[in-house]
Order: sequence, then C-alpha cells, then structure tokens
Amino acid sequence: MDELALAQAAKDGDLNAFNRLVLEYQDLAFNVAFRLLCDEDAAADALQEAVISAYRSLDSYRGGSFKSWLLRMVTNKCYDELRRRKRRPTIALEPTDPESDEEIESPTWLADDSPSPEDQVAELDLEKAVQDCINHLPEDFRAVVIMVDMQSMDYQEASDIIGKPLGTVKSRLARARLKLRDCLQQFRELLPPMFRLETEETL
Amino acid sequence: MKARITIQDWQLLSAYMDDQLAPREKQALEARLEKDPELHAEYLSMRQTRAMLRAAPRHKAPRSFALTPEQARQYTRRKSFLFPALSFSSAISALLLIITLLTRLTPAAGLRMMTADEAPQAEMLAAEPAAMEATTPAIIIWGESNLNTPMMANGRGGSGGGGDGFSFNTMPMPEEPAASAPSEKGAEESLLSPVPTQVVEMPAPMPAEGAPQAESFSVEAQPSSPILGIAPEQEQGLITGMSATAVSSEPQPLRQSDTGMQFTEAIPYILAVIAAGSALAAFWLRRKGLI
Repeated sequence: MDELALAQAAKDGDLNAFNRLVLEYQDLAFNVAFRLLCDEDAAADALQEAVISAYRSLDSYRGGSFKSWLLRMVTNKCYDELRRRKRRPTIALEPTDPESDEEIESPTWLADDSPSPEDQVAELDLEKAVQDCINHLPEDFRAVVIMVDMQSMDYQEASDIIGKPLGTVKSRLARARLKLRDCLQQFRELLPPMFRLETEETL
Repeated sequence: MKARITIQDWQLLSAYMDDQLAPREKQALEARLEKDPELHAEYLSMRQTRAMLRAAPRHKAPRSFALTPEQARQYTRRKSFLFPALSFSSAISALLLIITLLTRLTPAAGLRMMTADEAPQAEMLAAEPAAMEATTPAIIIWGESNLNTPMMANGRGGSGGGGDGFSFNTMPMPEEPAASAPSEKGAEESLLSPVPTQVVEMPAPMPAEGAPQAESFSVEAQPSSPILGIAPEQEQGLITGMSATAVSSEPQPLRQSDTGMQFTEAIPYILAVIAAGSALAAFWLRRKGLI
C-alpha cells in the first residue's frame, strides 16, 4: 500500500482511497482508543468521530505519515472523552437484592460457571492486570506507553501523534514504565509463569 | 538500595532498551550494567514490564469505520454550508467592539462627544438673550369678556396653537421661575379692575415656594404674547395646557441628539450580544455536529 499516494488521492476527494487508509489502520487505532478509555463502546465512538473529523479535515493534511495524523485525531478524541468523564462522572449500575432492595456488592449472577481453558484464564488475568495498571497512570503518560510498548511504534511516531518533542516522549515513557513495573509486581502471582521468572532468558 | 537508582538512570535504561542512546552513552551504560548488579536487575525488570505489556491481547475493531458515500456527502455539504458563515462571526464582532471602544476612548472622539453633549446647551444659550428680552414685555390687562376669542383660538389649537402669539423663543428660561409668582399675583389683582392696566415691568425674582412648574410656564409665557387680557382661572388652565404642550414639543432636536448618543453608547452592548450569540450558535452547532 502506497500510503502517501492514497493520502494524496483522499485529499483530492477520492473516498475509496480514504476508506482504504481507514481500514488499514482501524485495528491499531481501535486498540489505542480501547487502552486509553478501557471501554469498547467508548473506543468505537471515539474512533468513529476521529474518522469523520479526519475526512472533514483532509484540507489540513500536509503530507507525512497518514497513520500518525489519524492516530493523533483518535488520541485527541479519547482525551476529550476522558475530560468529559471527569466533568460528568458516571456511577456504575449495581444489581440490587429484590428482597432487601440493597445493592449486591459481589454480583455473582454475572459469573460464568462454565470452565475456561487455562491459557484463556491467564490471558484474561494479564489483560486485567495490564489495563488496571494503565488506568492508574497519569493521563499524559498513557498514550506514550500504549503506543511504544503495546503497539511497537517508535519514538518519532509517538512524538508526532501526541504533538510533543522527542525528549518529552522519552521522559514520559521512562516514568510510565517505572510506575507500571511497580504496579504489575502486585499481580505477579496471578500472571502466567513466564512473567514470574525474572531471568533474562524469559525476556 | 533501589533508591540509589535515580530517575535519570531509569531514563537511560529506558532509552537503552529501545536502542535510542548515542554510541558513547550506550558503551558507558553497558559498562555500568556489567559492574552494577542492582542496575542490571532494574534493567531486567523494565524488560519484563515491556514484555507483559506486549503480551496483552490485542483487540480487533468491532466493525468497519469506513465512510459510506452518503456519510461523505453529508459531512462535506454541512461543513461547506455553515462553517464559513459562523467561523468569523465572533472575530468580526470582537473587532468591531475594539474599534468602537477605541473610538470612544481617543481624545478626538471625546471632543466630538463633548461637542455633541454641549450642542443642546448651545442652542439654549443662543435662545437665552431672546428670552431675556422677552421677559419684560408690557402686559395689557383687559376685561374678562374681551379675551375670549384669541384665548379660545389658542386653547383649541392645542399643541399647534400659538403660532403667532406664542413662541418658545420668547419664553423665559426655567432658571427664573421666581418671576411667575409675582406676575400671577399681579394678574389676579388686575382681574378686579375692568379697565386696562399696564404693568410696566415684571417684578424682581422672588422665591416661588411650592409653585408648580407648569404654572410658572404659563404665567411667564403671558408677557411675551400680545395678550389682550387675562383669562379667569378656568381659562388659565387652558393656557397652561397650551404652554406645557408648547414647551414639551419644542425640545425635539435635543431628544434626537440624545437618541443618537444612546445609540452610540449601546453599540458595545449590541456587539457583545452579537458576539455571545454567534459563539453560542457555533457551540450548539458544533455539539450537534453540523459544523
């Protein structure tokens, strides 16, 4: 795929070229949004809004990496959503006991009684541990560590996406890794065995 | 012991792990890692953290986010229709507001405004000599029966009456209301006499305590008119009404200039309302996704 040619065609009004670029990067963009928002529906909404914004802002696209340009809009939409949540915090609905009319703190009725494969359990544990620790990061640190450590982007791409200098990216990434290291140690016993061994061979 | 590892060391380890160090920095750090087991343990824990993050499952997008041709047309059309209209409205309003404020605050503008303020006073000052001259006409008092015709004509004329015999220019200035009291007294006394009596001069100003303003206007107006007599009290009421109407109808130029000043003063508020309205409209349309 020739990204630059497609981006130029999209800028010239070719909707098919624009959609090809969207389909190419939508999984990556959705993962970034999901990690930032920790909610599939909210991530889908943010991605949809970002795609619309990108289409309407094609005039402002000045070349360069379309992937970074699109992801920048996605992260901006996600941070908008995070700010909106702070302004209007939501309260999770808890099931209530029909007899006492009080909330059930441990909704056992949601538990799946069917047995799960061990690797699926381990993956769910890792997913939960990672997401929980990311949620406890300062918001400014999240995007950098998600892009570099989880999506394997390089520093320059992260810098282009968040609109900060390379030095800021390095600093935020190092601090985010330190916090995540301390946080994930709490879950070490719950993680798959390979992550419990602190030997270089396992890394 | 871990406190010995500083945040700068962590940044070096982080950059080293991503191969972002310059060759000399890289060699220096590798030498430290060989000698310092704690630093090496920190480096291993950092690599382990990254391995855990990369092992976290990835999610596929739940659906296609490509735009349909209908969606593309919709967003393109709405933008081109509304965006240009609202994008600069607030900026233009703010610019006009600044221009207005500058115009009001500059000395030249202040001079113009002061001149405009003083214009009505100048008109009144110009009219004052004539009024002063008119304050001392002779009043010929006739009997009650002799003044019906002209007075009735003036009374029926309402605000339009008195064109010949009554002029605002001849009306004394309100600064001399005291003149009304003695003249009124003189008029009342003169009613007792059926023969014409000439009052040569208006008495000296005296304090007219409690005398109504309209009454003073009506009596002051009499000396300037070719009045052939003094009406009884009932008909004086007619004269009073006419005088009040004449007084109230004359300062129209003053009101026009006042209206102009009020409009000038209201411009900043109008612009502020326009700016706020356009901002609210843009915010609402933005929330609706129309722009």
